[in-house]
Amino acid sequence: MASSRKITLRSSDGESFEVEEAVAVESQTIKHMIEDDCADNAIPLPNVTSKILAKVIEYCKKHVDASKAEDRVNDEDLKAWDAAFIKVDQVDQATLFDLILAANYLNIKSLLDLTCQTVADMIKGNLFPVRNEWLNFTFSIANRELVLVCLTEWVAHRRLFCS
Amino acid sequence: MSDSPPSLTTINSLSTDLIDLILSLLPVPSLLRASSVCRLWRSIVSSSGSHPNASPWFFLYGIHNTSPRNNQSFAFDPLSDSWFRLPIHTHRDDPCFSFIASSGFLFTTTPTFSFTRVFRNSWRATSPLHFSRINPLLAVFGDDPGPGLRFVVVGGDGFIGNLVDIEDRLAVEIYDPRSDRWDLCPPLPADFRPGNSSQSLSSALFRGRFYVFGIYSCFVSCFDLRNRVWSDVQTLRPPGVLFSFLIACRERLVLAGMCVGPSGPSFNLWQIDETTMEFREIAIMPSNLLNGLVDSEEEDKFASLKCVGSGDMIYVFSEEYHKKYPACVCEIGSDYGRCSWRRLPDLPSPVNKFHKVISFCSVVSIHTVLHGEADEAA
Repeated sequence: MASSRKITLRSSDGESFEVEEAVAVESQTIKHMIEDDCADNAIPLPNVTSKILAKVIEYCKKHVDASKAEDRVNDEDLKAWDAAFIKVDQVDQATLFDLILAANYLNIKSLLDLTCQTVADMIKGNLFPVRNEWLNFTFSIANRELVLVCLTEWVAHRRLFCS
Repeated sequence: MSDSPPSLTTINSLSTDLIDLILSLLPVPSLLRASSVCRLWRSIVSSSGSHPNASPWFFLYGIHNTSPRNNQSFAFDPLSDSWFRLPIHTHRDDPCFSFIASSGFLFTTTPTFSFTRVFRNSWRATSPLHFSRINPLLAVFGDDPGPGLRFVVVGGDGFIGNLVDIEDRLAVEIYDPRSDRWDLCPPLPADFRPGNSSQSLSSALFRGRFYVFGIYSCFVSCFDLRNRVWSDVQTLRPPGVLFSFLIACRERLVLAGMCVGPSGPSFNLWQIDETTMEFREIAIMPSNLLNGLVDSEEEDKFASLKCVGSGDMIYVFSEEYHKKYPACVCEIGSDYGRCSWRRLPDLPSPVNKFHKVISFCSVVSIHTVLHGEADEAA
């Protein structure tokens, strides 16, 4: 059903957003609600604030547009757009976690993957200092060396291998 | 990017499922580091779910026959694409300690049969095998951990009084750790002789059957672990194959081997139908990778190639010291999808010369490293 029916979504703080059905059904949750015929009036989303819903809609709209034949965006460009969309300075950390919760609730797999990978990259990129007397290292040591010693120190300390 | 730590309350406001999802994207070294930040992170990491579908690590144990001080062990993590040097592993006072690795366990078969889980150096001896042997094929099956856990020992060369006897067809033996008993089962079919040992046989445990495959002979048969019978012996030889190894991956049986075709030598992967033994080519190692693994001066340059794999990874490496044991890996995509090859980084120096290289795959989770000596094996 590629109709350009409009769906109204209502955020937790009472704001209404009108979107095309194709954009709304990027969310599996909303898709099921529409199929179950609960979408005559606005669809209430009590778990999502207007600030976050606006961002989610922006994401879904871009991804729907990207896959339309006339306006086909290639994978590289879409990835670049995603990266800019999620860039941490733009999106503060609280918003990032709220986006994760929203993507999970609304069941939008690609947004969930994008946001979770971003958090994983932040953790990998050591955005917090390591403090541990066993390791005895300062933060500035290059990743690989720290990790190598970290693992062997930990393993040795745990007497996993040494008899 | 900001210097301050991600707010602990916000990551904590995610459900455990979501935290697990994020942590599943992190390689073990990052998780280890994250768990050492403070108690809260430590508990977040320790209580996260395990990921049995994670890509397995690749282990290389180098054994020096006369000077155990030259033994070395290395482990490769595919997610962080890095090697780790493991502390030297010894087993009692045996300087020539050698072992067999299979299904997340390590085994010795002589002078006594003993086993340990890969990351716990707590060896347990079993009651003796009915037929003492060296270099058998081994696998672990049944629920692990659980009452159904069993070890199956197939083939090998008879070993009595330090003498090796390759003539006898040794019975298959199945061990129950709970009763400490070995059951006798029909031996490997005679078609595989000579060469009943792991020197010339490769094995794969797949969907309740233990497949045995002749690396050079290309004979294949499988042992049904429930009914304890051997299937008929068939031949599995895609055209041009010189030698190959049978590997049980997550969703499929894979044959990996060296091939000579009209366009020259290549290392190929085939998917194998487990009932008909029909093969279908799924990947070919890029020739520049293949050439990087071998010493092009040698006559029989591909003979040193060995292959292990499980899950979604197939590791191919050279046992020749000359090039410091180069290796590469093929990641098998799901749904007959694309396979991608890449070269592994060099082993961290120094790398000694070994008389024997033992290699295997095993999934390593952060829990393995953090919880080390918890629960007893089997």
